[in-house]
Amino acid sequence: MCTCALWGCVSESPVIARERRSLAAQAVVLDARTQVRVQGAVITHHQIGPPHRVFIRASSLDLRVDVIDEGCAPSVIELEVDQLITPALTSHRTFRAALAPRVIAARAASEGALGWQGDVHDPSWTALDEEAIFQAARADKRARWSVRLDRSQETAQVAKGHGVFGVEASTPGACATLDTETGGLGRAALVLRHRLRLDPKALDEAPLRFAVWGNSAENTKQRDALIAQLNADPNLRFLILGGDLLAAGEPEALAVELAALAALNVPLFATLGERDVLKDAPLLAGLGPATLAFDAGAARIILLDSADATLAPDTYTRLDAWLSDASLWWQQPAPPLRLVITHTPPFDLFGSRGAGFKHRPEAGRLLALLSRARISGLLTFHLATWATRRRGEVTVYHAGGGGAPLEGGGDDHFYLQVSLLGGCAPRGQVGGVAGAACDAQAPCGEGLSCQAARCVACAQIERVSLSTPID
Amino acid sequence: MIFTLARLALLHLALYNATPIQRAAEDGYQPRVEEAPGSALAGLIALGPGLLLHGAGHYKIDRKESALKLLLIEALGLALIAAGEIIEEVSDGDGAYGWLSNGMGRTGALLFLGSWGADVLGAFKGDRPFEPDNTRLRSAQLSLAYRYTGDQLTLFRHHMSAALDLSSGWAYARPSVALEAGMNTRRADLDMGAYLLRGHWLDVGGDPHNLIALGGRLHRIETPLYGLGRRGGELYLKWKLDLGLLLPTMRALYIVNRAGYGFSQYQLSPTAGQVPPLLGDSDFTDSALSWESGVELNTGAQTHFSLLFIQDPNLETSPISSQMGVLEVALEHRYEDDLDIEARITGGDGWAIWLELGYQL
Repeated sequence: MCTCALWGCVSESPVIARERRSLAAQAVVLDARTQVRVQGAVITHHQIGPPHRVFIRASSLDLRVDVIDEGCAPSVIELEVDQLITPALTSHRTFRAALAPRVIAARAASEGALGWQGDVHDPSWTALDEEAIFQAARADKRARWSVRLDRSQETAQVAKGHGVFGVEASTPGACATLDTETGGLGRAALVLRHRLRLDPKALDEAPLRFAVWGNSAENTKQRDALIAQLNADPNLRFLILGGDLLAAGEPEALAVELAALAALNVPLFATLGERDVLKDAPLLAGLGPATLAFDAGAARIILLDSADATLAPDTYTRLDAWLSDASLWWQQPAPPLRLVITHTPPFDLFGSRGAGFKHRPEAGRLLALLSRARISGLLTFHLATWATRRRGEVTVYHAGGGGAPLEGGGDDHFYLQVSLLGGCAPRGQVGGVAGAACDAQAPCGEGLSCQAARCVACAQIERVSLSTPID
Repeated sequence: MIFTLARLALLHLALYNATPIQRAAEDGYQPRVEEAPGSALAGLIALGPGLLLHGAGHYKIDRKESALKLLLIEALGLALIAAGEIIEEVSDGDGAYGWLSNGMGRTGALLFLGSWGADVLGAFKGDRPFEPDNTRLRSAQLSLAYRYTGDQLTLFRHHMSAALDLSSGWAYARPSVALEAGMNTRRADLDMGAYLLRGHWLDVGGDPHNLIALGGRLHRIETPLYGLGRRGGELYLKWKLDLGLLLPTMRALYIVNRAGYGFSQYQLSPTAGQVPPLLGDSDFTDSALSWESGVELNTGAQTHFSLLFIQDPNLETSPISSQMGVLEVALEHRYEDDLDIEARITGGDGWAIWLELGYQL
């Protein structure tokens, strides 16, 4: 689509282009019969084989990777995922991507009276086996494994590491019977679905803690201090970059920063700032998508790309869905909290400076939407200062003290530490307010958790100085 | 009869006595001045090397005094830009000084671009003046307009608006309402002010279109689709000046400028589809500077052209950026003294086309 101005249509709006590229990076066609689709991740690049190789960057704590085979000869794909959470539970299940006619008829005839049969996440597919744990070769934040699919035999194998499976020729007529079997699944594709997620046992170890750091602008001293502090905290799960990692958007600078951040023990996810997008740095491959949502413990964390001081039009549709109680790509209950992270605040602290969204009606629209959703907080990183403001039902955090020169001078740079407590009251629950006494008979209201017989906010957001050692 | 009396009352809101010469000036009378021709070569010099050395084009057509003025304006513009950057640097980007650094930078950029543009235009066309400005000095006009918006961010496309334009020799008021076709957004505005100075008040034969005015605007904008209401106002100072007073080649080309400071109170509804009442509590208040800078001229006896850069946080069209705002081009043609047709195009990140019909009451 064009951004049309008085001088005619110019190139596609940058924010729309970035969103389009990140959505397109969720699927890759390897050959005429084989493709890979991901959710909660992006495909950064691939190599055509045999065997095919697909490189994936995680952008959530609960990825889905589908390998789809519509051919007949066995196919081998080697997969690698970067920025994978630790500890990770990896599992897979095999399907035919259709239902047998008798199953469809039985479900329709029973009108739901019959017990549920089928996979809860993909009810319109026919499961060929049960969900099984597999081991991927782990090295730091990477995981590697290989898969071999054979649709003619309706089998899929998963093995640790690469170079496990050989390349095999197809058997003539291998699928003839399968494709034409009466009452069968016809030409339905064979799908190997993978799930890579934070081990649920780790979620029981409340609180789930992560860090958010933005507006560093290639300040190497603060970056290295951050890495040291985060690596010293064994309870920290991941880092989110709030934008302006780069000072001028140079591709070489991105490579330098990513190389340094590789020393982090935890994965990182990122949104973008206006400095990151000044040039053609490979941001999608290096940092992942800038607009995304994923569930983490008690919260759904939503990142919004506001590098151009606006959001892409389609982002509002996605944001509507994320703020609701709808599940993401796995059919599971949505967490009770919503935390939104974006680089540019809707409104500047000083209206006359105008460093917020470039269109204030849009800023008002966004705040109205977030206020109705009663989010736990809106974290922003464009203003190189520390301040909080209440806008309707939204607490806006201005926390751009990651390394760029601070407003008013000084060098007290900082990042945010977010702790998500367990036992969070569900959305809509009416109960005690923050600070009130609580117990099983007198629960807390939504967004609060009963800790030591007192209601406290489930999402604890703290400013941590980069010069302060972790306790 | 009643209508005639009302019209007279609107036109004579205050006691106003003008001399015959002043009335002639209001009708567009301009004394003859010595003219120097322009040239294509001078224009090209102004376009090329003149980008760095403003006034080079005017120097070529032997308007040395104008050339020097343009050079000084360029220097002033660059100085203001630098001053804005220095303030930003010295204050470490402190937001409290944002208005000052922004204001100086923007004014400097306008002076720089304006002096270059004036050099190019004047060098091409020479001293021959533009047509006299036919903007009404006194007016009681009812206008209806249709606006189409092409903004990817919103679903709002078709808008209708009505406005009453009242102006005497010393004050003006312009109430207006605008509705989106699906009633998804609606707004009401009131713009009013008083002229502090008009050109023909100072001397006989002075141009009444040179003016300084102090005004205020109130707005109420409701967008039920988003559950959002806004109300607010601003104070502004605007001025319009015939550039020919400085540069003989720019006679009847007016530079216009408006600078304002205002606030908006935002009301967030807990339910989409509704808007809190006008006098209800607000959730927060935002302040903003607004700017409007550009040129106006008559391309024909009855055709008025304007080109403006507008930075207004309450404008519906999405801007290119917070600093650049939107660009607006307008063309207004008058038929038989009482009917005005105006076409306006606004462009930023989004765009809008506006067609207005105005009838003199």
